[in-house]
Amino acid sequence: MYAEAFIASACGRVMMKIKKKYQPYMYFIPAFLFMGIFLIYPLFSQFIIAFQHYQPFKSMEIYFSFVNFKKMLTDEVLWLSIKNTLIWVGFSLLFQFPLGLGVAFLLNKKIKGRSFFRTIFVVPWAISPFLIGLIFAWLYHGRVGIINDVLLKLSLIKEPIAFLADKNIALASIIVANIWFGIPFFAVILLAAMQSIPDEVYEAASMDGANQVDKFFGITVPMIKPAMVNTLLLRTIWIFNFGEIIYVMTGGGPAHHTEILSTYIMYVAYYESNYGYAAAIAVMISIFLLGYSIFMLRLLRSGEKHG
Amino acid sequence: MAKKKSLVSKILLIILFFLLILFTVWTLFPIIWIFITSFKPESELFRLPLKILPEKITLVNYFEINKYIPYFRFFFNSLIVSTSAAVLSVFSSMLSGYSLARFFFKGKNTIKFSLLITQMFPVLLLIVPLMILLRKLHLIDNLFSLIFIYTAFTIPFGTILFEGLFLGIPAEIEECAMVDGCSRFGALMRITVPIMIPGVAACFSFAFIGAWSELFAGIMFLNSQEKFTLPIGLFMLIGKYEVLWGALSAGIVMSMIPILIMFFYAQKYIVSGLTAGAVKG
Amino acid sequence: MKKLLFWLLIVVLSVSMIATFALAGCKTEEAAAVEEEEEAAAVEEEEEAAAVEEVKEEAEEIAIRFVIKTWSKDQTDNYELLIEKFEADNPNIKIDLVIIPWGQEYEKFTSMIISGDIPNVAESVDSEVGLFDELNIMLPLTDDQISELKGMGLDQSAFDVSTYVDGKIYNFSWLSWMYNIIYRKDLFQEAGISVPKTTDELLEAAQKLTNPSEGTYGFSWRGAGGLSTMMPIILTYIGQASWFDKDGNCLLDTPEGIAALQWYYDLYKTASPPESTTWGYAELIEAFWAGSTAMYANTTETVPPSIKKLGEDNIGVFKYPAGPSGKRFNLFSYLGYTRFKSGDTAKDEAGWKFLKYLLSEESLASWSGMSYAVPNAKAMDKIFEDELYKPFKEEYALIDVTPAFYPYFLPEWQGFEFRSTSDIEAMVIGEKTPAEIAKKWADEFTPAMKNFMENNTGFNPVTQKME
Repeated sequence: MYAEAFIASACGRVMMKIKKKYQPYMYFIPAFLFMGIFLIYPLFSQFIIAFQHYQPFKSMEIYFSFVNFKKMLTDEVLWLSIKNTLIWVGFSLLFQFPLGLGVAFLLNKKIKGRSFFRTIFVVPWAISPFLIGLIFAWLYHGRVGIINDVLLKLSLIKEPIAFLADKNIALASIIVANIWFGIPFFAVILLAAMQSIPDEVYEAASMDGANQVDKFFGITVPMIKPAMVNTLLLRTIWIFNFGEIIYVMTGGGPAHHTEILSTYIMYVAYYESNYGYAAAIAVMISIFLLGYSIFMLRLLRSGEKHG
Repeated sequence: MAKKKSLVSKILLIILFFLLILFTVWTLFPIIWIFITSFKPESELFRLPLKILPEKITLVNYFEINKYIPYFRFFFNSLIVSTSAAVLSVFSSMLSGYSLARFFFKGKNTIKFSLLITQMFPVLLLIVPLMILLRKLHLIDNLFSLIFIYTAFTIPFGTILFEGLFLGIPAEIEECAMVDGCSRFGALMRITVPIMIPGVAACFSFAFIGAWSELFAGIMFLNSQEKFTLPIGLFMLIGKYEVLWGALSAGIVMSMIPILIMFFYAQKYIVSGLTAGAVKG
Repeated sequence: MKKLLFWLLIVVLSVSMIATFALAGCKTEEAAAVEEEEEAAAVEEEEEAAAVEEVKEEAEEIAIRFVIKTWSKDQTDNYELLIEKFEADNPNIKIDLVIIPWGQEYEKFTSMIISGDIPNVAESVDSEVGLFDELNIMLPLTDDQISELKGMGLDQSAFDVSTYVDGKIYNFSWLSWMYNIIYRKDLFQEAGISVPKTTDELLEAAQKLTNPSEGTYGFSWRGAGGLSTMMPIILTYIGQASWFDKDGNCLLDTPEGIAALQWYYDLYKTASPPESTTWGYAELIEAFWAGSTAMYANTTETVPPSIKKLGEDNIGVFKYPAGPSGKRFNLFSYLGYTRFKSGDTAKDEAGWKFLKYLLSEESLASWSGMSYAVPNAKAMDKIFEDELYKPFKEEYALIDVTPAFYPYFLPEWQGFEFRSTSDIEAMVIGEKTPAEIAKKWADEFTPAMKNFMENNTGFNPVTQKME
């Protein structure tokens, strides 16, 4: 009897130990199920193709080689794309983030009709990126576009501005569309984070004589910092690869001046039939972004230690 | 002193309201044009000189949209795909995020980085391997393929979102419950999650909207017209020889409605209203 | 409250999954059902086979996949109608219609082929044959099949045009496109301009119609790209329908070829809206309808929507003018049906039946009500009895115009139409000179053609046929 009880409790303890050891991983099961099958497996196959000479429709030969990576060194268009990508990401974030934060801050306040405002702000996010590209291309149109029309009528310009055809401003014009599209995302996430801060904290600070600015930087920002950091990182990665709007508005033109890395990949894969090279560029992007993420997270973690 | 404070805060309120109006104009500006166009008859589209307001307001674009594409069929498909993907995504992300926030285990950083890596690879190149995979799973031309793919793509973000939010809630909350005899999972479900409602609402919105507006995967993995989702339908209005702007603008306006409704309710939950005072006490 | 929410989620999840299952028409269920049918039919067959001499395949249900790229709702509806009729007449064949939306058709179809998802019949553009020829996945028409088709009233020109460089027919043309210049008659009348017959006249006319301060321009291209719309001009400068001379040298970078590009540059700079560099077709046609561009070049199918919008009196068409060589050319392109290998004779047979059906007189006639087709069933003369094309009979007819084709049998040709866009854009914005672009293209195509000639002895690069 004692033996049975002893074995039962021992089993129980072992089970508990196993359960305890693997419990963290068990929580990941649903995620890994979906991601493993539909994301990681295809990703892996592409990683392999990056190291192959793979040009369907042009050549029947498939073999392993570093030719794709060598090609990157001499490809002018690739370097132009890299430069454009950095401008694209940098300026998009420069406006999306502060404006999103500002909007979240405004919507956090008890103002009349804020339900209405909060709902309205999500509109840009609700529209397919390609439709956004179409709408903005149309707004920018030289003949039937309303922006040029208004500027001409106000005599601010003499001729319509070639928003999407002038190599110097085309990328900027598209960045505006991207900013418009991206603000709601930041606004929503940061608002949710701000909402988790209990009112008492603010009230206590008020009683200690803190003003709005103090409250914002002293309470709000530190308490939403984890959400802020993670969202910013993820958003950087997304914008980096977000080529749909550009593809619709200019197709990467004129002459590759609005080409970013992800649209260039599309170009190389579909129009040069060079899937191997496209995969190699993608691998390069991933390595860069991975390094960037590690660097950023380390930097912010060390910041946290002091805070 | 009290008088000064109330004046300052009144002025502040006005400024804030003004800023909100400004942002609203900025947000709605491109949409207003579409909105107005949707009420214009065919004859008034693209006439120079550009007139903003329609001379004749008509609802013909709305009533006749089914002439061009089976709009409501597409609408329904999108609704199903987006809701399912959002639910699955929230569920999976919440669990994963919780694990990242609460536990210290081997490979935590690896997992975190592999979540990020999946977002770093340009999606376009995954199309062909996914096509091969989906054929093997007999999921081509099946809405499930989109549901699973959208879920997979939105999990990394959801996980990181939940991790951040869970970290903001002290672990003591669950530990209190566990002391009272609750299992960890039970504590999670019954106590922490209700506090997490803003996060759930945000994650749900995010996944839903992402799925609702996704176009290219839909085109690549669906073959029969009756399975197409709404973005594909709107894409089809851009014909080879003419863009059907009337139908397209009406279609866009109607496609925003579920998002607005969903988000109207979601944002009410994002207003927490619940205090985390339980911890302090 | 929380419990309620939780259960609500579960309910929503289950409902959506069930609904999707039902809607998605789970393939595995259908496949299982078909298999059951086949088994049952097979069992019956075995019992009857002794008594009746029937081909076993005919009792089984054969499913073949037919891929189309939608360019309008009329087209999709008509195909569905045709398929219904065919399935009614052939109850054992089921057509699985795959629709690819216009705008992503190239990308999706190539992805499908690469992933191994090969249909039985597809609606294909001419260049797709060049795209797929190395992959060995297409079924050419046998001589018997060709004679069958000949007996169906199809025009000889359809056969000529559909014959690939190796002498076989893979993609049978049923609908042809020609490029012409479409103009606003009213704007021409206002400015007192008559239809230009030479490239110089065209340049002059366009410049006359250009008034930047009023926002009107003479000629707009489909963005700087749109190689197809430029080709007839290049060819009329070079003086022949092929890009290559008898030795396989690409003629694009000869003085004549460069002069053609220079002409294009001049036209662009003096008579086109500066912002049109990145225009797509949609932007171009909006500008045309709004009256801010008087001419554009495209296929003739773009005319009926314009007539619908602006009236017959205001829209006119004329052929590409003649350049220094005095000869006129027109780029010929076509849409056809291609059959692919399936490894299953039953399916191939079914595919052939379906193809014959699609090319029958009655099927082809069903298209003539639509504004977008010039079917090859009738000879060119008969086509112009159609109300839609009567007004343009002279312009559309290939009288004193030589048809030309792209060298799409060269692997380098794949995707070139898209790639050339960035080169042309670079020229137009002044980053590269016409000579540089011409050299870039020649550097790609001369070795390509020479290589092709080596591997295909007897190929004549000027006539683009085997001799």
